[in-house]
Amino acid sequence: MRAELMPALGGWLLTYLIHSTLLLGGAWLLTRRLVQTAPGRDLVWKAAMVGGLVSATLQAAMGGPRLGGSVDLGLDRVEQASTAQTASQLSVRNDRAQWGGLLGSLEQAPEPAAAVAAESGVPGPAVTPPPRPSLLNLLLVSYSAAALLLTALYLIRRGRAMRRIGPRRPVEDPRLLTMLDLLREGGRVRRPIRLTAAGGLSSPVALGWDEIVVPEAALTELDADQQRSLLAHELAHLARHDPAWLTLGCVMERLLFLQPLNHLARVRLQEAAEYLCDDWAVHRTGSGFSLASCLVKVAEWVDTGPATVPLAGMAERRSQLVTRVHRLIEGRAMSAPRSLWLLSGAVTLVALTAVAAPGISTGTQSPADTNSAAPSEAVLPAGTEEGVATAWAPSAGSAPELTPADTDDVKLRRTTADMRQMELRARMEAARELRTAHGVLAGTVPMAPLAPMPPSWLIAARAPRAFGGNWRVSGRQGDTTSIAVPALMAALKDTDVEVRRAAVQSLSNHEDRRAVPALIDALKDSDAEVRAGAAMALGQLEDPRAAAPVSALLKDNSVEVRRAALWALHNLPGEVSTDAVLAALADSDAEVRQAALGLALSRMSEDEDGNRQADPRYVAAFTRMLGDTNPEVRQQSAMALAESGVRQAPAALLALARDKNAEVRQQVASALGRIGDPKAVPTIKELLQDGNADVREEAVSALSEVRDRSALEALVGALKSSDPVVRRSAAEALGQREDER
Amino acid sequence: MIAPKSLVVAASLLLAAPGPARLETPAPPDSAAGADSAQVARLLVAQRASDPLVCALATEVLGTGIHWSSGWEGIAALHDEPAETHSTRDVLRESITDPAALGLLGPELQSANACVRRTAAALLGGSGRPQALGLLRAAAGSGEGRMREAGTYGLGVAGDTADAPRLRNLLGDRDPNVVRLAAWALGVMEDEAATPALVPLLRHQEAGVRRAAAWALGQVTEGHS
Repeated sequence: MRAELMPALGGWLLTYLIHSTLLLGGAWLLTRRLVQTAPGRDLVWKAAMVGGLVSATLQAAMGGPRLGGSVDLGLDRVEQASTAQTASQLSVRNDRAQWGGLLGSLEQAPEPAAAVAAESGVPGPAVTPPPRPSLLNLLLVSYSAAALLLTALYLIRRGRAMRRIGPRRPVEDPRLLTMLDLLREGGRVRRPIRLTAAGGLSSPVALGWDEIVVPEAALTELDADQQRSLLAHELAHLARHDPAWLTLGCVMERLLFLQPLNHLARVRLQEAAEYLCDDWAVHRTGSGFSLASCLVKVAEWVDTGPATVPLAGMAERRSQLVTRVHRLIEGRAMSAPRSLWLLSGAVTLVALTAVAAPGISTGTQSPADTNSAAPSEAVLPAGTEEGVATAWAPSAGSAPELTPADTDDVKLRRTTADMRQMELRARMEAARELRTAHGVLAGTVPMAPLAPMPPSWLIAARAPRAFGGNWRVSGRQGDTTSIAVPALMAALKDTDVEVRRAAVQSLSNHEDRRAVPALIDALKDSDAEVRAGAAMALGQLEDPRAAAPVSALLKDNSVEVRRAALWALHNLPGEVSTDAVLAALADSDAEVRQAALGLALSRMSEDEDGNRQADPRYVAAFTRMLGDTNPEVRQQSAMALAESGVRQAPAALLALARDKNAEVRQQVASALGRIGDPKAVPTIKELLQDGNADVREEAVSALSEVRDRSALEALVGALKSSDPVVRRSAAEALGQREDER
Repeated sequence: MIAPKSLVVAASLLLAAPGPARLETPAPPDSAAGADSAQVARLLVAQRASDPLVCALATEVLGTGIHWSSGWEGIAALHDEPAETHSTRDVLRESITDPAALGLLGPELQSANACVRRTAAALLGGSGRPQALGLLRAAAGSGEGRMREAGTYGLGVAGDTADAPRLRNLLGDRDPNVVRLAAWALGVMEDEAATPALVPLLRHQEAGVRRAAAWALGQVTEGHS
């Protein structure tokens, strides 16, 4: 029994290593690009983690040839010569025999010492030597011991973690129990769930099959919404059997430690589980914010030391917390449901691996295996490249044609392989049909062969960085716009004003440039709201064709339309009539006048150094506006004047230094400094005595900008000011001047 | 075949079994009836007697979770407001989960009072509970136009995308009010698959339907949330 078990175990382990590497590596690649949703990632990693076990076991159980070929380590043959054959002889046999030579075997009966002695040329002992353990067995025994030791250590650490949690008492608060019952009912979790509290716990955890353990602090420090979110999250772990998956992952990590990707799979599974449980909780409670605030609160309780063993806990993965909180607050939770085609794809992949992936056998074969393998070994000379290539050849299209000379056994084997290929093709065809049917049922055409279409908000968030601008023009999103926009353009002519308002708003959402002509027409609509909406939509589209028609709206009867037009003109490239802007600067509405100041500045031409070229008509308008009734307009016109490139401070600006509004005076000081006119120094000196500290400080700053001796003297005088802020600012300004010199 | 209307009534009665079932004479709060049923019963009685404007204003925030402007957590409440008003208000602006309360709301989907009907639909939709959604689905499939209207509205409030195919079917309803609300609900759900069915509605003879379709088509666009 033992003689057969050990090589079989070795073969299985190596086969598992190949299969799991293929599946886990594939999962890694898939989840990097194609599968972006949490349910998809969860499924892919689960399938990859368990798939290696399943496919290696299935292949071992099925026996016979594999479509992907098999590597026979030839331990039985090697065994016959293992103690005597030289290294050179082994290399002549074939590459696979070298593997066997490396691993060795104890299971075959030892050869007589005399024969060994005869072949090696060394005189043998008089008695038969005791059997020696082979390298394979030593390796397997060592591996098993290490795996069991690691697993035992994990179980011990888990036991310690449970002891550290301390005794768990049942929670008896009827409010919490009712909350849990309602969540359970809503989430269709039929089994009863125990709710317990433990003093030694810092983060809530889901344990085993039916228990949620919360820290004592969760009962007192969280509000009702946070508690509901907490319970919903942990209930989701139980509903998804996450504790069991986590335990399985941890045990696999240790028992099959020769596959390091198992660790990655377990970590990725844990991450996906947290996102999915967040989504489940948000769906059940209707609030991502409550869960986010609960996470933040729980994170405060969690100690920062390394976690002993992974548990299905709310804040166990601290590195993921920030992302989760952001995701919840930004409303990015609520993953798409796991799709059927992805599930069928995963099952197909595992089955494909079991059928087509190469396997390893260590030479101790069942009689059936021996029989089926014999012709191949006989036909193909061992050790040739051809032989090795055939052993590793992929299944599709590589099988040679059958010839009359082939034995029945070979024919049977190839026919079986063909049937498997046909079955595989049929499965793939069925999966493709299923995907198509799914798309038809959903009324959509599937976008990608593997990934479900992300929700629209996700595309908006990811398109710029992941797919570039072209993402929008393809796929069903583009289709939606292509159908909707022409219809909405026609709706702009509807007789019902509400329809036109809704249409213009919807066109604004679509941001499609085809709508520009229709929106320009809508600028002449009889309804002000439609005109304003059209202007805003055109502003968003930033199309230069719209600049002139929108600037005409600056004389519109409706103040809302004029405001919308100014907003749009800020965004729109293209010529805007100076007359229209001047009209807006004289508008009856203060908000329009302020917006027009900004627009006028943005439309001034600049010289090579970036200095604005003062347009006399604008300067006159700004100067006139210094006397505006609205203090904010006065402030902004003072600044506009300074920014417009004038070199001499107008008298109106100097007079404004006595404005009753302190913020206006402060802005005047700033503007005088920006203009740098020496004639303004006496006015700035007056502002040094202003009753408002901010004005005084701004005046010092203005003096430092005026390049004139009178300004320098004023700064020196300011060193004697009774205001310490003025003294300090003046000293700093003087120091700066000294440095510049 | 059992009429959907009968299903609504039967389901409502089942839901309301432990609590008060007669609206005209609501029973006093009963611990077995659940926490929300007394408040819901009180609201329904008050609504029937109220001015339609007051009723309409009051129902705007029902089941939405939106805080009333009069104050948050009662901080800005006037001192002589009855304390019980606060708790009732808080219950009604959140999701109603009490089965007995939902049972009270079910029969009101066929009320002759539009405000009461709208209230029932909003609270049932806002609850998101499977039983409540079942009632709304049954109402949306009813032979009576105003029940279909209320059911469609409630499904829009619920915003469960699983109901999108049902709502797409309702875009072909013979009652333009149902079509209008189905278009609105699909817009709320941002259901892109509804686009081809929404476009022809821009030429519907009823302005309300065209308005809803135009609005909904702006919601199903890329990147809109």
